[in-house]
Amino acid sequence: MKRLLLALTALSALAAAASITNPQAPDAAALLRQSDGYRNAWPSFVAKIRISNFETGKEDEEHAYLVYSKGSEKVYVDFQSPQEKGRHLLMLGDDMWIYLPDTSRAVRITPLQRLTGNASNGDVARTNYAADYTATYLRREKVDGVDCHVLELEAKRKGATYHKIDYWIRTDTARPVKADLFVISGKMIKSTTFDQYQEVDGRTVIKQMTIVDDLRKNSRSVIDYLQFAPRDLPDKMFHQSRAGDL
Amino acid sequence: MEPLVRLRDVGRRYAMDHTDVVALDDISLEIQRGEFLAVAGPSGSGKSTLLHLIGCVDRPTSGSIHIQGADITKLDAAALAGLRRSKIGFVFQTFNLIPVLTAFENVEFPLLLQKETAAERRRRVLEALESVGLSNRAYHRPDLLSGGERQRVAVARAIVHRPALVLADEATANLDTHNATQLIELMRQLNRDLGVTFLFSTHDQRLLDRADRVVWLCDGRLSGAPYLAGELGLPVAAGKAIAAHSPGFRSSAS
Amino acid sequence: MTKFLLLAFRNVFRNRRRTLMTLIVVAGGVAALLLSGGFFAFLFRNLRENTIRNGLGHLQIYNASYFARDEKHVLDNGLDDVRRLQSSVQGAAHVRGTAARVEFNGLVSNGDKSSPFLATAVDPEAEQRMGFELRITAGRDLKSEPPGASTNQALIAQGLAHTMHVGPGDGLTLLAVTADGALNGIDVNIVGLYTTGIEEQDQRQLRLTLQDAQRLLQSNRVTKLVVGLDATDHTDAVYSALLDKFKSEKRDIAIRKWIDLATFYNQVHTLFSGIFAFTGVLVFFMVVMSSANTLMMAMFERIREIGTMLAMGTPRAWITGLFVMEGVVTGALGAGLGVVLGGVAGALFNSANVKLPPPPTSNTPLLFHVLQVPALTVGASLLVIATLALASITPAMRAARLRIVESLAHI
Repeated sequence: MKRLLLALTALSALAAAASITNPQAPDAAALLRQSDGYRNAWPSFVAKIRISNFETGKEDEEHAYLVYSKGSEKVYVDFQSPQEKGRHLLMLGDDMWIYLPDTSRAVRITPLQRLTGNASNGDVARTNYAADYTATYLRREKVDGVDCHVLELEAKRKGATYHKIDYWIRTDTARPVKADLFVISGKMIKSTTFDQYQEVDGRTVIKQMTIVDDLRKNSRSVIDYLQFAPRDLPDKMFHQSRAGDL
Repeated sequence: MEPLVRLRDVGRRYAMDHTDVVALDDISLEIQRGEFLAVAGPSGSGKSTLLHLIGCVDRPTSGSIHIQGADITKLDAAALAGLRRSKIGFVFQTFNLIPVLTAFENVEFPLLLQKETAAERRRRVLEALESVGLSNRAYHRPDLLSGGERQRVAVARAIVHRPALVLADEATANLDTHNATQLIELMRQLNRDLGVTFLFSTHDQRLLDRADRVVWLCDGRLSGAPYLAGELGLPVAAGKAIAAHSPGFRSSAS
Repeated sequence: MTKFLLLAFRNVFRNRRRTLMTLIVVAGGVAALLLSGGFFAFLFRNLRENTIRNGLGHLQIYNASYFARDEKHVLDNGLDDVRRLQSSVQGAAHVRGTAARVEFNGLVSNGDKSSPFLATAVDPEAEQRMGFELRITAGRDLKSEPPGASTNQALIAQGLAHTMHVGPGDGLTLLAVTADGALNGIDVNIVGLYTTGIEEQDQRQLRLTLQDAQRLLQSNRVTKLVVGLDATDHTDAVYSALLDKFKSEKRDIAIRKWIDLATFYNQVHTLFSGIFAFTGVLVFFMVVMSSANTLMMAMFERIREIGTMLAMGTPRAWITGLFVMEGVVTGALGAGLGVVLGGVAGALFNSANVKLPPPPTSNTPLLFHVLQVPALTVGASLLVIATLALASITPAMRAARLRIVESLAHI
């Protein structure tokens, strides 16, 4: 009996040693591309989103947006809330502008600047991480009982929203689970959880995510993807001019 | 009658450079009220020490000193200062007037310590200055007075508060003959007129001649000496009588 | 007592040359304190009045919640119904005027690039009425327009103008989040440039009219009400009066005095007070060093005299008192001389209009002017008198502890 136990222990130790000395290091870039598919599902799509801001647990305000995205380099965000009618945000490559009614010129903004609540412009408009960041595989880790890969994303272009992201994605489906978001000083400013997914056209896509400010933990912003569908979009829609109308 | 001052077996020793110096040894002495008493002896014989002990500015290392019946060796520093303020006047060899004060103010000083009223002070100061013949010098500062005048101011200061006892330590040593004589006669007159007891240490033969009694000190001890009052051991009254009839006194008084 | 004072006085003048030396040092110290202190007082007064006139005002009135919690949206903690508040405040004594202001931030864009800004929205007429001055470097100040009309004027700090490549006559777009959290923007025309004197502020600041700001922010509220008084000395009185008034009206309103808000003034005040305190310490040591030895020498010269006084039954405390009194008399004489010296020197400097090179943050030369501050005169005099009393304690104690027999024998 004792012998058997010893033999088993030795065997399991050997197996463990083998797994360490011969790691199946996953391809971080491939994993990142795969995980992007849940938010950037089609080459050209429209998403109707609602951002709800909560202060100390109570819902404070709501904003609605239509996000038009083409090829991940062109994004047009139309503001839908009654008090924000007529405003829109345009992203072309690394640049981003906001257009306001009754003003004569576009205001250049950055992805990190606030859209509403804890949501930055980039959280809505720049969802293609593979294009903006270089991924490094860190480790495997369980998050709330779910097996995850942990990736470290480092900004590789100036248009990227964050300087660094720690990214948890499921080992089985590469679905995003959560992300810690850092600015250039190395300070973590926000964290995001990807809470719900939905089926659209036979694809699993994001349904709800939550952004928490790391400084003001009592406030959170929930982004709901109310409608999410592929659609062909004309290039002229993304023209940098005053007439950005549809 | 209780003597004014009574010393009993008084000794004063100093520790100096690890050796014990005996300044006074085993002195017993009585001073009667109204006496004009001289302490004589060579330098270092202990005359000044004796005056300091009786003047309450020093304490004996043995024995007792009674002034008007009270044992002063039992008093604390503050009580001694009080005793000096009210009962004792000092005349020093070097006059020791306060240079920034006028003759009047110097004489007034002991009265300030007594907390007399200004009017009373003024009256008594002028009286004292009058008695030493310096009424016209009242508002002079010491540096404008001659040596003799300064010492007379000092005498006025010593008697102004009507002490029981005036101690004069070598009071004539810094004066010329004329001034010395004048001072001696002044003190003698004050002794007689005011009844103030005088105790003075001196080398001065003229002063010794005018004393009721002379106490001789030698190496800190009392010793007999060939002098009228002291040697004969006559009572004070007799001594006084002799002195009063002495031709020297009469000639200088006139 | 008077006799002792007289005695102390005469003793002070016993050695005239020595006393004169001490008096010169003491008077010099007092004069130095009066000149430096008077100059600092002049600087403080100018800085104070400039700070207040540059727009701080004497009092600022806020909603009480302004200091209690963070704003989620702009003007959450603002003041409602500012007209009524203004007429209420203007009724108080010594109030010269009130000016409502809105402060907010946002993004300013020239169409090509954007930069964050800190905006102050003002009622130009009210600001001018209170004598608030802005250093306009180009163009003109904002002008009041009838309420309701949009003026589209902006005055922009020169650093920000430089970043935006704009000058008077050019247009800019301001972007801000409204009071209910929506994004909003307006176009403005630049009417002039100004400088705050502080470079970092010049990189961020701009000014516009209240009605434009309220239109941009979609709110009728204001951030605060700035109150100007007829004289700075009335600040505390008006503060208390207004506080009582608001309390009786049960209004949740907070008032801040200029001194609580003038960070720069307070920093400068602290710094210069430190320098002045150091001057005081220096004078203290100078006086101690120069007088301690003199006082001790004076004591040694008088040993036999002290012995005589003690022999006559003078209480030892009187001897101590006499020497301390001599120190006090010397101090008082030196102080008097110093006050005269400092006053004359100050008057000469004032009439000569001496100019110092400009300080680092300014470009105008500094006037060397000296104010007569009664508290300073009293303080400096007391300092030297106390110093001399303190310096005379050692000789006084030694004098009082002399042994009579020995001091009588002292040559």
